[in-house]
Amino acid sequence: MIPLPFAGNNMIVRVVSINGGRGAQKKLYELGIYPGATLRVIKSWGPGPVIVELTNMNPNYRSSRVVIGYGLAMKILVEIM
Amino acid sequence: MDECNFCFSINNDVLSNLRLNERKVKICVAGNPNVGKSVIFNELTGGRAWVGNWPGVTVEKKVGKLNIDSRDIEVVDLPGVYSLTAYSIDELIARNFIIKEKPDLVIDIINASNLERNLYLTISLLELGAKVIVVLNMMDLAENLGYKIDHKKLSELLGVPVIPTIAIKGVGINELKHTIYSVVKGKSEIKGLNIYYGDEVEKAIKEIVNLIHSSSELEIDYPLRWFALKLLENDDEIVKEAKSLSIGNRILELVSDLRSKLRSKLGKDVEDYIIEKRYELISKIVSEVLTVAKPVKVTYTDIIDSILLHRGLGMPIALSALYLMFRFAFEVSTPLIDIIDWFFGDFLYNYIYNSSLPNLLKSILADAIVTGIGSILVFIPVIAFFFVALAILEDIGYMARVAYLVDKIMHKFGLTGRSIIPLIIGFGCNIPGVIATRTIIDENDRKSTALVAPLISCSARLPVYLVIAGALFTAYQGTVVLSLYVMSIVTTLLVALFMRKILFKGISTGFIMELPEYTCPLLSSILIKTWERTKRFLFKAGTVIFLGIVALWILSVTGPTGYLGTEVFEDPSLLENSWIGIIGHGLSYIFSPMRWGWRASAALLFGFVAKEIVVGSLALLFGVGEEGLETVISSQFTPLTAYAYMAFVLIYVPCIATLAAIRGELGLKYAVLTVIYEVILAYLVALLITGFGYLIGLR
Amino acid sequence: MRSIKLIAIILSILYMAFGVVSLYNWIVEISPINATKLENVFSLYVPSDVGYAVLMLTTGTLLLYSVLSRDNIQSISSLFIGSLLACGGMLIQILVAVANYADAYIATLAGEELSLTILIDLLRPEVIIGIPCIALLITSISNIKKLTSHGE
Repeated sequence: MIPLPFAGNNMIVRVVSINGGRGAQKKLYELGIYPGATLRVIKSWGPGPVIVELTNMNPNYRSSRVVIGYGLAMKILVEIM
Repeated sequence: MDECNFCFSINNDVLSNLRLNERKVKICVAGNPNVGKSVIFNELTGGRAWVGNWPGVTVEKKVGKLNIDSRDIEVVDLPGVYSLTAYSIDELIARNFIIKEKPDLVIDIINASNLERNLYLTISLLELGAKVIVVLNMMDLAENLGYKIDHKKLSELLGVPVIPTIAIKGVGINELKHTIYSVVKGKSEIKGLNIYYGDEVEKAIKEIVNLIHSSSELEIDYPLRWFALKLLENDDEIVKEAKSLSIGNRILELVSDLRSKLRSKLGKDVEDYIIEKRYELISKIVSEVLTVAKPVKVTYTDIIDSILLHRGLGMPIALSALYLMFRFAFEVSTPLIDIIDWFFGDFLYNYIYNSSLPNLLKSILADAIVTGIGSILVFIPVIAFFFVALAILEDIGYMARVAYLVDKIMHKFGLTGRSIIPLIIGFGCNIPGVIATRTIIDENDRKSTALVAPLISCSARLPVYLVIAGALFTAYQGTVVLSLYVMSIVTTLLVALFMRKILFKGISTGFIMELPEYTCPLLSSILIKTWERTKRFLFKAGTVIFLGIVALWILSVTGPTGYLGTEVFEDPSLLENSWIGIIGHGLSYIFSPMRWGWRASAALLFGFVAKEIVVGSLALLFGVGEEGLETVISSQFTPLTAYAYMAFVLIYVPCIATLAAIRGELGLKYAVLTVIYEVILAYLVALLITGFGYLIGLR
Repeated sequence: MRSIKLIAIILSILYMAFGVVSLYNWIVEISPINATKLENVFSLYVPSDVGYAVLMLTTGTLLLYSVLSRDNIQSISSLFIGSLLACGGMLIQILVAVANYADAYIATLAGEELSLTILIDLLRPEVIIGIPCIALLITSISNIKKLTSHGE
């Protein structure tokens, strides 16, 4: 289990938990990033914002992309699939 | 109906009571941002539409009429939301509309290429008891991704009609209208949906419902189960409502007790558990309706983003794009500016003065009214062109990438990438810039951005720079102006940092934003966006500035000795005796370290009303036409005092209209704060510049 | 695609060169160094504008990157964005030229003399070397279409 920014580019990850405040959690959940969601990391380098893509359940599926600021991304714990 | 583990359907017999001819039918359109909601609204109503990639530009209520069977149905466009919690105004607007106004139909627009996320709102709407028709829009995008969606199965599982559409091509719109018609007429049935949240939570819901049933059921017009669910989820607004009930305290005690019991039983907060359960249902639905036969490996958005989001190349590209945008706004609009300027400043002005009207009337018409209107209209071309370029970049989807690229830098100053859009808008005109801060969710970020937005050098300040820099820096004019723009950006960021650290403390919720697929911009959307923003300047600024100019005119023709006559506009020595002159002299004492003289100081008073009239007022005060202005300025200022003056103009008070916008967004207190801090800051900066100049030997 | 690469390299060098010249002109303009500006290169007018320099240098870099990059996707994308910026710059300058042309006529209303500058306005680097970039743009778009239609 690692914080999201530590996952490399093009990795498929599964969200395990989100340690943020109410506002942050809610915003993430709304955009499709919730515990159990499968994401593809598009861009993550250095201490900067992370770009992930939702997968609609299947790692082969493409869907919409979300940018997450570094601080917020660090609160998202994921496991690499 | 299917018996799956998670849902059982309920019948909505209220629907069968609907008859078109009995009462006015009202429906609404809901959905996530960026799903084509406005296009469909437009298709249904033939009225105004708003298509934007950058979420939630305004929270205006759009209402249109849909004509079916020679009856008018009212269609309300709800703000784009992802869910129906109490966290944001948009959601509350959407939610309360459905609860209080009880629309006959909610048309839920879904982006077919993002089923999972979009269905969250659908589920939320169904739980609220709304009568929903799901529109599966952007089927073409879904197809490009290789998606195959079984919309019939989806309709079965959700218990509502599902209609696939490609809104921008008009595909499926007729079917949608048909379905609306048949549902409203009572010809088809809409079943609802309730999620089964597991034994423990369901028991808790039942307990709450029973308690409310026992006495205050009549006091609330919410669906009971939904109300109970929201209480368990600790929804702020619903908790407030519960408090106001007669047995409110008992209910809240019960809820609090249940929540802690559930937390220990479930091992997590019950609201998190509930959200997860919703997504479980959604997952199940998606897995049954979505298949991707040939997954797409690479989309054109991937390809383009590989460079536009590139760590080295991304920023220079953004700067180049902004450079082109500025050139377009300021250089291509010049013919229009000159026509307007000629028409008001030359043609109409002279026409009035050459006529045989009485002098007083001539002066009122020419010096106040025509000059006033002209000085406002002359800015429309620049502002409009700027916003056209910005709208194109926004609709393509590029501005979201810019926000990503600047996020790291903005972070250093306590803001997020999201703040960059209102600030860029501010370069055209501060007023829509301030208003655009509405989209920033974090309160502290929003307030900080709105309060520093006036420090962005808007297009109205540019003429001041050009005239003064042109008079005193001739060869270096371009660079001096550039330095002022840099100063604008630097002060904006530094003051934002100060605000964030001292005034609006608190860790930011963080930057989170959707990166849309690149799409071809729609002409209608660009025109509408541009008009919406330009009209803010035109109407807000227009009325305020116009009144201000009339006020200044009055202050010019009158003085402590009474009415001075309209000759003041020809003879500046007379003007000195007017109120403007008195105030100017007073101000020049305050500005004595900067050696600006009473006229330049008086011009600053004019600038309080609107920055764009500083140049005209300088001409007025010195008694020269705009051509002679440069010579006069070069004799009244030195390069040092001129630069300090321009810095002051940049930073001090935003025009009254911007203040009005700040008041509208943040309240009177903050508007006053803006005036105070900006005047003090402007004075200090001008003082510093002058002081520094003396230090290195300049005069 | 050898010829495309060759054209891209030549154009990239030209863009970068003009960008450097513009930057040089700008530095000369703002600093007390007593040097002469290079405003007339191959009878094309090069402005002393730092934003212009950024645009030209970025365009040149992108075109170069499209040739040198080993990542196929980035290479095609770079060609696309680079030629897009190039055509954008060209288009803007053409619009400015047209605007100035219209402006010249409007000025006569106010009694000024007609002074047409359209030739000068169009003899600028981004306009002249922007023309071959149209071909690059078209090529890159078709490359992108090819890439995304495979799907395998």
